[in-house]
Amino acid sequence: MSNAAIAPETLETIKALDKYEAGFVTDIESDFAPKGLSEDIIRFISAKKNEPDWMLESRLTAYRHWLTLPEPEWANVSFPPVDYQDAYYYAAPKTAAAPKSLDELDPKLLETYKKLGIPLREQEMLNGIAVDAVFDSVSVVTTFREKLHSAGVIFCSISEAVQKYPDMIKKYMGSVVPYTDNKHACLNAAVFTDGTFVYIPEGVRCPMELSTYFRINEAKTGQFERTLIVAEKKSYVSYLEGCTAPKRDENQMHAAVVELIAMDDAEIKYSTVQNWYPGDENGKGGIYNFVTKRGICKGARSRISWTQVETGSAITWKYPSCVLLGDDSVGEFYSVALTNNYQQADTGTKMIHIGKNTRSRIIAKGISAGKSNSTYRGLVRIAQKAENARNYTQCDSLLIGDLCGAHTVPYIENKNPTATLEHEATTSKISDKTLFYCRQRGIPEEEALTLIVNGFCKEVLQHLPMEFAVEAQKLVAISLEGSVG
Amino acid sequence: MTAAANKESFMAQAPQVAAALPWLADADALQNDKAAGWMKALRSTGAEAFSQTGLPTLAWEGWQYTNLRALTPAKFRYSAEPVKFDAAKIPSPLLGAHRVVLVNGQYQPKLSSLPEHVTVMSLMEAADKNIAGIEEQLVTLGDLGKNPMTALNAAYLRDGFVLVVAKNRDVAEPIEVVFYNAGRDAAVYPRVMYRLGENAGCTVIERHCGEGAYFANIYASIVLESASRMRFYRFQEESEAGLHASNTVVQQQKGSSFEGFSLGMGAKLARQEFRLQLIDRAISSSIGGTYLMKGQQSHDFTVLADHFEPDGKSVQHFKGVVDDQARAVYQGKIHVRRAAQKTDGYQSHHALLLSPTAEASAKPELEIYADDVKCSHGATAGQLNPEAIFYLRSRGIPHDLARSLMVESFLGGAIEKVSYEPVRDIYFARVAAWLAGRGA
Repeated sequence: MSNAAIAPETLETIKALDKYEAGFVTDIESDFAPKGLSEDIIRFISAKKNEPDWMLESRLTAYRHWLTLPEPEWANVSFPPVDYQDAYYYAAPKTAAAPKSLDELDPKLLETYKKLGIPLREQEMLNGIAVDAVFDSVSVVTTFREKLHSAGVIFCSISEAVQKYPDMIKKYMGSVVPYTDNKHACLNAAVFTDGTFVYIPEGVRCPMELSTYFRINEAKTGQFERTLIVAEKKSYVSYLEGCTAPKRDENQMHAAVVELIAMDDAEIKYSTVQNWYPGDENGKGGIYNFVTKRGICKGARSRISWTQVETGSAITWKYPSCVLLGDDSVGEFYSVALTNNYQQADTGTKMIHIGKNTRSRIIAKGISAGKSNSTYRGLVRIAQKAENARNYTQCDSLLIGDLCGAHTVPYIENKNPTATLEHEATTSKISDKTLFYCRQRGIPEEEALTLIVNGFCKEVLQHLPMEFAVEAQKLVAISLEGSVG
Repeated sequence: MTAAANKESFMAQAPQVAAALPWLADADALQNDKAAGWMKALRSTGAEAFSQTGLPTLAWEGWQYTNLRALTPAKFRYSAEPVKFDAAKIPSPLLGAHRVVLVNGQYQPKLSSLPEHVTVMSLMEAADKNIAGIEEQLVTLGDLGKNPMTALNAAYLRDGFVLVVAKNRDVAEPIEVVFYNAGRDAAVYPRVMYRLGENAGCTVIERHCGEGAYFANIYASIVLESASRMRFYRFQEESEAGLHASNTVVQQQKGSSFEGFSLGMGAKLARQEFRLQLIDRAISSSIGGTYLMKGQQSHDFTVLADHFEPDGKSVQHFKGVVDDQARAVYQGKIHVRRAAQKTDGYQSHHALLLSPTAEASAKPELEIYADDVKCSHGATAGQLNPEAIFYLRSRGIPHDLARSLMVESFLGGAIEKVSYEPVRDIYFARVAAWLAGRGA
């Protein structure tokens, strides 16, 4: 049958079925470090970024330690061993100098972010969200800097912070996630190329949502960025993170480190919508998302809240955690992890209660479809001094189809009798009755499924800032496509 | 968690672990006995597997809450010589007259008596006669690299017994099995097997006790043929200096049912593992337990309900109290395999901490590969509700009594699940005695 015989709409529909819309590649000239990983590569990265000696030293220390670490194997994920020498550790769009404003930014980059639904310029006009755009290894542009500056907020790339605020970087970077923490965080400490630094001074409520948009563009590159957020006493900040990558057949590694520090009465709200390329329906390609995220509630009455919607990545392996050190501090974790086809997710959180009257809340929703596996793994630890600590954990799993898996692995450790710990978990499938009810009302099966899943995730999605909540709902719908029938 | 598990993969690759070797010191001598070739081969396999891992460390997934420090250095020695003991010290029967007695793992026919339709013989005798498909049962031990206790038990395969209930027979009277350990730093490795024929039924009461210091590493397999029914009640009342590690594997065939319950109150350090294998359809399996820990004691219940086929039902129900500097662990897992549709799985664990230095850890885990299942779990940990105590005191009940009443009613939630009333009453009596001894 020739193409002419097929109605054009059909062709359109078939094209549209291939729904990873962020899967395109931007044709832009890039600067690479030579392939592979060695001390020289680290020196190269450090030199590229014109870093002070202490930074290079700390990178090399981390690298030497990394060499001694075995690959972690305890998670419920499987993948061929990573060849660390077969990747580029530095790739940056070629630009003459760092752009001072959007007008100086390469139009191709502007176009890329527009296609991704992050219209940097419009956002500037509409006075919406301040964005730090990270493209492969470097931060290409940060919007709204003046406005934030007048509020006393520092919002810039990590590279810039290393130059401009070395004291703060020395003091805080690695203080929550030291390079000795785990293999992937250690690699990041050695080769991180960029990331975002946020500092909210005492008593300041950040006037707008801050956001970083991560984009992997080049083939065979790993992305290693660091985010560091410091919220001084009585300050507040809400931070969003989004990520996409082109479709490629090989796996690419993303090993980021995020550190949050909240002082007395400060609040940090950190939201992630992770939509890295998940690989195709046969499990080929996709991003390995091996991220270490941890926040410390250092001050009394401080609060850190993680919200994540994980729909992308071939493998998601991360545990955004809270160390509740300050008395009366609060940690929260809201998560939706959706896996389809051959995706694997082993994600959850750690709540470490150290201070008195600390409270934490974990709501985790896992949805598995296709041949995927999704694991919730979470730790709640009550230290001996954590009087009257409270934790509430609820993890629910939903299975769509009979070839997928849903797993729950909570670790509950209590060393204080005054602590109150509650844990609940359920696993179920979408009931035929509910589906039937929707279909009977004229809703097609796939839409009905999306509707039910979005309802299942509602408790988590409502914690996302509005713009992200809408995007997340759409993502859930797209990710579920093809999981019925 | 991370660094911990790294070491696990390390250990598995290591050729031999030096600390493992003293544990195997008496294994070579054992090989001179008259055991069948396949038994000797099995011992070698066990010894080899154990020499590559040694005892599990806190770095192992599944062992991070139970520290085996009390087992190092390896001072416990195994002996195949007939054990000398004072028969008067063996505790008198709890119920009825039928019992099987083991001293240091060695079956004592003279002290044992059995009801009709039940056959018991020592493991060696059963192996000689190859009754009850024993070879097949003994060699199926799972991944020894991941179960060093099982590997170590296999390395000393000799002691223990086989108990068979004839098919279509319902044995009304309970059979008491006494594992008495005579101390003197002995390492004992009994391997026991219960086999219920088709449509058979029985009630077994296992008592683990002894005096002085010893290490008891027990491996028990229970084979329930189709439509058979077993009630299995354990009293882990090892001596204060005793160490207890038991693995109980329950293999359930079509339509069989298993009701298990274990009380953990003895030993310096104890770990009781249960693996329920629901290998066919329409099986019901329940396991419950309670622990009473004080002083420096440490107790670990590790349970796996493994659903292979559709329409299975498994329940895990554990409750316990921890006082002083004691520690308690519950690790439960429901594994639902791809084919096991319509599985109904439930697990719960509730811990009560009575002192500021007590510790309770739990890992209630679900691993599910079938979509039409109902699985849930709940876990809580906390202290006695001060308001409830105040309420009781305001009614004129003294503080200590109020506390006891509350602990009893808390544990009652688990013990009530025991369907055999005489044993249920004994469990309640044990709790009351423990509380009285606490002056609580």
